[in-house]
Amino acid sequence: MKILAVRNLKKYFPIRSGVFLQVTGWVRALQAVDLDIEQGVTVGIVGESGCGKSTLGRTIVKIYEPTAGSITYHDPDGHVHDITRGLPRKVRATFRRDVQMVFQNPYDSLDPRMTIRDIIREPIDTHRLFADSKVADEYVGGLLTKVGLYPEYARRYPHEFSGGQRQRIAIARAISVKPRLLICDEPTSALDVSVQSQIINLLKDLQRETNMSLIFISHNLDVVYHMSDRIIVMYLGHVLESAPSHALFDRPAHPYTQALMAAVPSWNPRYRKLGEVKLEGEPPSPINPPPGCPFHPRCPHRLDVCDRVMPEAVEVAPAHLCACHLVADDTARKAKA
Amino acid sequence: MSASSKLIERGERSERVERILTVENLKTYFRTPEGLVKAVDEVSFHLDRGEVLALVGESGCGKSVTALSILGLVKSPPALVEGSIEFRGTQLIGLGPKEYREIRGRQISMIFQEPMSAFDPLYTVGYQLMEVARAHMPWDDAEAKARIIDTLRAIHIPDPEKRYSEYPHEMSGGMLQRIMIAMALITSPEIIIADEPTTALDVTIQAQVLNLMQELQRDYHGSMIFITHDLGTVAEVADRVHVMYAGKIVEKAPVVELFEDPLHPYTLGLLTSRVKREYKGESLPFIEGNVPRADELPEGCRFHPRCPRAMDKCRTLEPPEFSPRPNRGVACWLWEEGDGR
Amino acid sequence: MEGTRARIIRSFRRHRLGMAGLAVLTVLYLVMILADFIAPYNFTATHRNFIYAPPTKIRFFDEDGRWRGPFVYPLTRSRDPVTFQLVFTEDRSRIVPVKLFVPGEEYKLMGLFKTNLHLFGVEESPDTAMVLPFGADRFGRCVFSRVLVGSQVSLTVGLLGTFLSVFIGAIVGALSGYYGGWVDIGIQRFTELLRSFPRIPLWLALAVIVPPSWPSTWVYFGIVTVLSLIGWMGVARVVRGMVLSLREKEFVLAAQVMGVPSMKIITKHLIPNTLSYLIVVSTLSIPGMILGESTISFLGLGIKEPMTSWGLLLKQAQSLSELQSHPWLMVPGLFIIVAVLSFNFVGDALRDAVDPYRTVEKV
Repeated sequence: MKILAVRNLKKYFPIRSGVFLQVTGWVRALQAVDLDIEQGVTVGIVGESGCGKSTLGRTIVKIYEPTAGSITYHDPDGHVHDITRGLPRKVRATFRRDVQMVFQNPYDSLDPRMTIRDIIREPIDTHRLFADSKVADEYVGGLLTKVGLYPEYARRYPHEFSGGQRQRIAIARAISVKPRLLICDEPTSALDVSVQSQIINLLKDLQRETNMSLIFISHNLDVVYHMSDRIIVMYLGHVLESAPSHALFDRPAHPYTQALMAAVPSWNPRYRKLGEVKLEGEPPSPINPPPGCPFHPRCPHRLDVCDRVMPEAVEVAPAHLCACHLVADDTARKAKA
Repeated sequence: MSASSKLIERGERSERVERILTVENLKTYFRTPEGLVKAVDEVSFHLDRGEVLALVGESGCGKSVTALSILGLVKSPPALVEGSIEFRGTQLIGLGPKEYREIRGRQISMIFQEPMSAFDPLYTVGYQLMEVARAHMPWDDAEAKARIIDTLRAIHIPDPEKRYSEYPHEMSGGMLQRIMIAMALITSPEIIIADEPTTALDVTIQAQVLNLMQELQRDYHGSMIFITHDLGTVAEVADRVHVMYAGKIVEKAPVVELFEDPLHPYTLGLLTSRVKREYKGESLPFIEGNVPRADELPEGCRFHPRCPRAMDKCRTLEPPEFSPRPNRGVACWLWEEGDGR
Repeated sequence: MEGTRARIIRSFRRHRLGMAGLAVLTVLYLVMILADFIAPYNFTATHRNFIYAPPTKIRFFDEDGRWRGPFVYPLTRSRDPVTFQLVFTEDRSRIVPVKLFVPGEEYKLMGLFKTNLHLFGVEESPDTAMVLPFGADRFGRCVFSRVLVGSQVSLTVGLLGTFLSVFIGAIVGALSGYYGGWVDIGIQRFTELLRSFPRIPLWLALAVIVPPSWPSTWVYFGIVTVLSLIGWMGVARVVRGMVLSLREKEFVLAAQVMGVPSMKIITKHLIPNTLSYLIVVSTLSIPGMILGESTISFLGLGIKEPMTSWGLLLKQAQSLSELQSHPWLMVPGLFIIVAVLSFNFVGDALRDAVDPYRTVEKV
């Protein structure tokens, strides 16, 4: 069952300056992104800082209004709603309950002045899950147990907890209203190495139990691979490659995906591989993106056409899409042969 | 890998191995309203010329405070810095601020994690590099500028003359980080302390910066203390590794041995909690519990509440450093009798 | 780690000037509440025999050097035949003891209990002997009593005015910061326009609107309104800045994602998280209010007789000749200085405690 469909999504942020804050430029954070979320499936979004992955998450969850494109939401009863512009009143309550988010920084995502109970009660009370406050408190205790904490913690304040524990609290809050889609924006990158795996396991366990869908946003390829059924590689607001995780890791098609994988340290001091990474330069600014393929200034396999035309995504294998002239040529040749 | 460490690996210890830094029983304590925080507690290690020593650990393990203590950047008092830090025959603990300035920046320099906050936004990067050169080197301005531009060229910065007169905000994080490396190199220091130099950078930029650091270290034959929480980068750059946990060094090893034969349960835990491809579809191995807060350290071995092999002894007695193999050190009671497998 | 509140209290306690300021303010406000009881005379009562009487010397030993407890001598007034200056001579033939809890003029303690007991005074007709710690003015009114009663205006104008201006400022600032866009631009430009007027002429212009025919309590609230209409802009600017940064905090985004309505986000997350800063800002803006009231009253456009305030009391000390011959008329100025300094010290201490990195500017 489908939960969300995103087509051709664009998000530009205005740059304002002057006395009356005139728009003097645009940050092109998202350019034409397509995405489908099916029930129970995890979609991983990977890319470096500034690639638009967080903007994508926040636009989907309707914190940001998209500049163009469309977002379609399929509610639990199977009705389809266009939620591109704002949230229509009749969808609002359902959507705000059905789609939840876990943020990157657990030191920032819990209101320091509220107790854990009040923090977790906030979505529960907003959506009036329980008429009886006592029942709701018991439910909060149960949630805390579920995420590996103690019900007694409900009376405490966020500053009494470590980063990993806070992230567990944030997860408890997000799953309290039984969402069908949970968007996780870098949920482990602010945590200690030894605690990261705990949170990843917790998310996986919860998903198995509730069959919810996840959008898992991260810069860490290994983590995204572990979490996801399907992975989307983003660069400068564009989707460069999108494939089932196994296919993406076994046969990365886009030169950027290949470079990204090569740049991950090996963890093997006998075979040091970073010396062989030949990727020069840095991502260009999204205010002034290069013409054509956004990766062409750094691409080792650049063709003449690359700085003029943005390549269309082609299917290099079933369900494996790649937007690269090189790959498109190859595929075309193979198709001919 | 650097030349000297290769010598050690082959067992050809020659007089060319020159010890330039010896830290013994370093303690850095902070008095806070909640009590005494033992940020670094009886830490001992040494650094030889030309080698890269990695200090690895999670947040609050004391790795950065160790670096700041070596640089004399921990104010004492109010903090308490005790023990011995010997740099080429000079005792650094108790050194006057004037003498310290001679060493800091000139002979020991530092690369910080956040390039954006390490530069003053009001001045051009060239001016800030020039300041460092003026403070420490006997060059006149023209020569200093020439040398700075040479250094910028050496770290593969395109168009160094133009970059020289740009402001920090006109550059990307990766570029600034490389300029910070240049800043640390101008005075050709004996030791560079790099505190999480690539943590704020993206993986592709991290690869570039790590490559650059290794290349420079090979060329200049200086020594480096590389501080990080990321064992992946350690495997890429280090010769020797010291693992820190809650203010203590728990394991010391040459890099290959650390990855292939970790002795301390914490090191093992860190290595196995890496997200490997094979784990897909399964639960990830992890270390139980959380990193303890510096003001609430457990009795005995500080790792025991999270240790899967904790014994009664571990709960009450702090383990000393055992050396079950040559060139290895491990602070764990399992190795008291020789073999802790 | 510990609770923010405990940390703030501890840090405040370490600030010596702040603690001293707090102590002084506590005394000032206690005295203000009990002003009618502590004042030996009604602040409006004139005493023609004591016009411009200097502060009374309270003595303990009589002519023979015998201990007699606190007492004063009766005064007789005469004019110097050459300079026509008033001269007071003590009548040392008898003593008038100063006693605690003496009956005097009737008043209502804190506006509730009718009584005629005063904290101290003399059981003697004010025609012959008075106890005047700060002397008397040109109507023979007790300056000490007038300062105490005047504090009821001067010290509350600051509190009320600040409360009102912080209230207006917080709401305007929060709206401006939370909604952003054109709302924000409009509000910002408007406050900048208001802020670019010079302060004192603006006060005066607004104060002139308060009609002189109004009863004194109305005038009082008029002055409070005038002060806060000018004072809120600084607060609004600070609150807007804080809300702008809070709005990007993940817990606010989280609340949005959970579907918490905007008004609830403002009242449950944004305002509570600016509250401690608001308290600091308030404390630091009280001195400005006190000085503002003093300025307006000093220039004759504020509080009017028979009501009194420190600024109005100072008005009597306007001319140099007055100051030379009756320096005790300056005493109210001393109180203004002490109160303003104390508030500043407390404000600084609070700021250091709440906001160690000084992200909030003084307004």
